[in-house]
Amino acid sequence: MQSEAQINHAVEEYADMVKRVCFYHLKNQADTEDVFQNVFLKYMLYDKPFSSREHEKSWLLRVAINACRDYLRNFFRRSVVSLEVLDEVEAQERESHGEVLEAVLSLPVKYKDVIYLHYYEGYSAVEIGKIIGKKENTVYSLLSRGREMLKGKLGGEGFDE
Amino acid sequence: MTNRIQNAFDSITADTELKESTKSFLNKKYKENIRSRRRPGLQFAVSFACVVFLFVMGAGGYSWVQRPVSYVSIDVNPSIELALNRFDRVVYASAYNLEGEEILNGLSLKGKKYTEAIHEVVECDGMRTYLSGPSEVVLTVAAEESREQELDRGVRRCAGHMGQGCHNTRADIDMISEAHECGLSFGKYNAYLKLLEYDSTITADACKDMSMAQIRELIREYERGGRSDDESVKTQENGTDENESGTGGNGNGSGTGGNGNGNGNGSGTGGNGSGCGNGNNSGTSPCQKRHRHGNGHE
Repeated sequence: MQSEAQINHAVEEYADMVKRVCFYHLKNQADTEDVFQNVFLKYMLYDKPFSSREHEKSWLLRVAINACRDYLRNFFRRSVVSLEVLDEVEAQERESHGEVLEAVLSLPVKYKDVIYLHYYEGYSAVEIGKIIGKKENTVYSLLSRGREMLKGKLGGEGFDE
Repeated sequence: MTNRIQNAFDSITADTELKESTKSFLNKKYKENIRSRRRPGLQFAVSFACVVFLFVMGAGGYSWVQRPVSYVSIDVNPSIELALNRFDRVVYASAYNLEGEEILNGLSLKGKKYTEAIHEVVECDGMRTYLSGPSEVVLTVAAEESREQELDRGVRRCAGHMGQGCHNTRADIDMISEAHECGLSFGKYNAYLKLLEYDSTITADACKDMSMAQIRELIREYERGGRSDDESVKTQENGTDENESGTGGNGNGSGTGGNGNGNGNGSGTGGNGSGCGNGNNSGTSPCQKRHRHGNGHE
């Protein structure tokens, strides 16, 4: 288990990153908070030491992505929250974050992950593969398709790499 | 594109409220976790103590239930002893001669109520041979004072059901080990001690080969005064139906040491050459030759 000081440091250091991952998956403030807290709870209970800051960061990204996927997979949650409410919340959030974010959020989850990890966090295809558990080539093709989709949505300017 | 996406995601941040609520949530969980982690030793100790307690109680209880506290000796010519627990159930049955062994081989008496076990032994097919001629069945009870009366009542009822030729008597529980040293069941040993009062030359080995009917007939002859010490032991017809009351009136269990001293002829003579003299055996069993034929049967 991590120490109290490590936990507080991790919350300060990675809160924004985890919030972003939760947000682009869940789009809903209440659900985001639940998963956000669970990700740091897993961090707290993790027994092994991290070899570096990079290791710690990629571990948290992997845990956050998986936690969001698990949350979305939960049939009960998806069943009890009405789609209308979700759409409404999603629309409000999109409006407040501009055109590009709206375009990214509208992508299927598998493209959102690679787009975020590559364009925002700056990970290579190999590193993304390790985080999301996919082969390098799969990551390349996901990136390529995601980029194409974004081009289509945003008009194609400046989307070469 | 990178810049545009970065700018878009930059707008998403975790506010202070979310960070603080998360820290407070984690702090609470952390303390709970520490508390539960501090106790595994204690929890293990408590669990271990429970297991040990249950084991000891189980083993102790089993040994408490299985410990023999009273005995019933069934003697015809076959000599069989039933060891009973405090619930008057048979813990094990032992035979003290070959005939007894044969009888027990065909029976399963463990766990049965003593009255049921007595009936099974006396009424089994193997016993018919010994009950066909002139015979006597002697049921001897040896128990602690608290159990003796009740057991004696039960055994007396059994003897009553079996009719003529079945007698019940009591023996001192301390006599059992002496009887076994002589290779006799305590029922037969009890009769042997009675006979020894009249005939100091009689030996345990000689009694071993005699049926209860023969021993008791000799005793009766001595009691009637119709027999002297120097007459040899011979088979007697059993014509009496004396029912012993079971009150201990014969005083057989009055202490073997007394017999040892009183009968001190020191000659070492034995009518049948067994050499089972008892002259210098002050305060000990009148039997010097120690051997046991008994086999435990469960």
